Amino acid sequence: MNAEPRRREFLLSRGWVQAAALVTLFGFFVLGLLAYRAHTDSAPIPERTVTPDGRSVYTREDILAGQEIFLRNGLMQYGSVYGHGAYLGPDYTADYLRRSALLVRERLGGQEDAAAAARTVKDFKENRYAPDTGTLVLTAEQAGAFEALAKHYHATFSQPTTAMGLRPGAITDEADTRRLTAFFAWTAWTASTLRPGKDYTYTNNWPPEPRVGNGPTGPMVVWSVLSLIALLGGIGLLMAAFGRWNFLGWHGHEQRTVSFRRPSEVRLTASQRACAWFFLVMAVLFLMQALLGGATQHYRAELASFFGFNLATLLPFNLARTWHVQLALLWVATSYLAAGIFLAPLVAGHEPRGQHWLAYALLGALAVVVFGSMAGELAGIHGWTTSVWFGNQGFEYLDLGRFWQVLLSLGLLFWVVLLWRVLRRRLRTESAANMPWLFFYSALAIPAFYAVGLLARPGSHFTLTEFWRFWVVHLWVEDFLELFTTLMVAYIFVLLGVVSERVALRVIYLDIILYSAGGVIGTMHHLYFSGTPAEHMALGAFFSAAEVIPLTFLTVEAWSFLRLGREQDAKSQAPFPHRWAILFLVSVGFWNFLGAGIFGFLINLPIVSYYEIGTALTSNHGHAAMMGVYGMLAVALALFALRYLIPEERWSERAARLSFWSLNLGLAWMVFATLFPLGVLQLHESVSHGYHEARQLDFLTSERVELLEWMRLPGDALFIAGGVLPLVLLCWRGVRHRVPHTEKAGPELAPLFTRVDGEAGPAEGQP
Amino acid sequence: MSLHSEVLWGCGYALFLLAVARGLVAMGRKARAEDDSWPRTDVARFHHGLSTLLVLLAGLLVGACAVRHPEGLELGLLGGVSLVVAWVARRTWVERWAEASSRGEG
Repeated sequence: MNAEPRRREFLLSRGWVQAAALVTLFGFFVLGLLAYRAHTDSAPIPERTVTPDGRSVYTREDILAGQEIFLRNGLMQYGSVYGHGAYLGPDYTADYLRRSALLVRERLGGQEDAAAAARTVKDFKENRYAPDTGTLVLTAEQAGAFEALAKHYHATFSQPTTAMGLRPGAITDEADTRRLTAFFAWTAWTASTLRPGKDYTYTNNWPPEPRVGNGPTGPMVVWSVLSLIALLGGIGLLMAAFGRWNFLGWHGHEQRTVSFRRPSEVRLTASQRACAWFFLVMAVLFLMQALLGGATQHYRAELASFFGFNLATLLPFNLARTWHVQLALLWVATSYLAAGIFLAPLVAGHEPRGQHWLAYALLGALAVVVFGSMAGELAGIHGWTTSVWFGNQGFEYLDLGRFWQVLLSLGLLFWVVLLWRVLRRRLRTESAANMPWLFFYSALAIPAFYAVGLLARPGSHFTLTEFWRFWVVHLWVEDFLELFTTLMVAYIFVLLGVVSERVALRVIYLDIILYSAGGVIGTMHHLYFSGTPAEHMALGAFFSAAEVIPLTFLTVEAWSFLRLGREQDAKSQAPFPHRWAILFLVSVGFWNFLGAGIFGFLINLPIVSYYEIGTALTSNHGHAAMMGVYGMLAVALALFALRYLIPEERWSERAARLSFWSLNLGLAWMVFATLFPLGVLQLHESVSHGYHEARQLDFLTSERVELLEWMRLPGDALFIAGGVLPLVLLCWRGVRHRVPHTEKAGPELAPLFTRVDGEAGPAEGQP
Repeated sequence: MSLHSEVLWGCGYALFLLAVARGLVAMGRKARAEDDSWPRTDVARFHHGLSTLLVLLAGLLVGACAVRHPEGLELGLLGGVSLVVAWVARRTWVERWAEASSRGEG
């Protein structure tokens, strides 16, 4: 009879669990309330939009059909709506608003007529929607403007050339372009009409457009100031807390002396060996993503030609960007999945039979999803299919068809099952609040929060699709992937004997508390102007300011960790095998502070975001944070595992060094040579001449901007040739020269270090 | 007579890059202030590498502005900024060389 094994006690005080649970529950409680408010108080979609004499202009069905046309044709990866999407094309909310305001003013008396200008503002601001009948009445001038703009957009999207970076004749059906115009018209209506009982519009007066009376609101300025105060006060409080309680962070004196095992002495399981293939797939996807990024960027430097070749006939801008953005998530996720599979046997100390076959099955399924979804996006954007399930769903970052989205969610769940198979024996012996369980919980959160993206449906209210989409873009990526990677990095340090499990566990709980305090409600900082009520802006601004605090703090704290690492290294007889993995982690700390912290906060204040959203400053933050933090972390995890997968004589320090320097210098070049200065120029243009002007192709293809775009070329070339290719080489060596499997050595795995102070292995953190 | 706005932008941004470069050097120096061994030496080298890139970029920017606006007043301003670039570059690389020499890296 098997007795239930005795569980190891929780290593810290219960207060840590209570604090983490309280902060997380509070965050999700507030987010739940905001979800309810988003459903009840977003801008209405009129059943009928009519002229003053009752003639139908467009219907609810037209608006929603137009939204689906917008999405499936990949226009969210060309231009944007409510500021969200891609940045080569215009923001269609702002574009429709500007064009219709000019047309209305012209019909009311001319551009120079003051009375016409005042009447235009009044007509746009007045809310003539009747909730009881679901009818919106446009003025005759507004209805006339709609007809003129339906013709304009038809001419724009049906043009048989690639002059705008779209495929020739992107949308040729006049009924489709009319529905598309209805969608743009509705978003422009929400952006210009006052909310009932309020003196600002459904979008908090976004976009800035004086022709319809849109300017910054009082709450926008107040919450910008308050979020600044929250940032400064938060940093002060945290510094005080760390001064008061010295045990916080990576502090702690390591009593034990360890010697690192040489990689050649570490025995690998069959599933760990399977990870070599995962990392090769990761590197190939990374290469594809970087090359597509180069192509996307080239459109901005030279719109109509790729060094003399008309690329847009095969790879229009929106397809290149769709693949670039999707692969950014997929290659990073592939690395994290592989790292999870690689670490789990080290955490558990054993591996069940057949695990490697399941890992190969997962890799096969992942490849099917990646290439299947890319084929669907190709077919959708080229107009070969209109299927939402197998074609292009079209939401930025959730572009893949719903079938592939479901399959990917199931694949992630299958990955959790794989981890569970390995970990369950260890979990039975552990307190449910110790590191092995946290490792499992954080893995479980990955499929759970990715699946939330299924709530964003192309035929739903656009504001609500944005609300749920950002649960994936923000909560999934910035909180739960961050949590999982923190767990993995902490476990790597524990497995290497660099820090004790107690210290690592404390850092993990601190991380959960700090990120949850700002990051959960802070999700709403993406939704300032998407049609949600004003409290989404207020709470989003206030709490997301607090997100910068842990970024600042954990960067400072990294020095303490480095000190611990040095002490252990000095005591070890064997050389530390993970120089480049650790340096990639150092670069993660740098980019976390610069890309996520400084560049993120730069665009976070509502008053800045009001003029900036959808400009190169957003790309600047996106590249520095996504590649700088998640990308570098993915490479660090890959190098950590490859160090054991590649035999000593085949390991290339030169390739690792070249990749490290080229990825970091290439990224820094991209950011400082082009994205940041261009973003500042575009912000200046937006504030001084208008948001509409700053998003027009006229501005983006101006000679000065094109020069800045060309300046990015050396950085991109260095990044791809010097950074990604050596990584591909290392990953190829991982597969080609993979260390052999040694089944006969017994079922239990040895740790990655030995204690040299008289004991054989780890005392508290290992099985 | 007024300066071309592009030159003003270019000079301002070049000076900003130089300030960031010096900040990075200071961060690298702080990293190895407590002890001068790995991984802090590599951390300092990382910051130094980034700062070198920014100084190079500032120099390129000033050069590009000089090619595009070879007029009297503009060239005067660009010449002044290029002196600052040269001074920061020298200071950055001399410090790096001195640190490397003191550790016997050559």
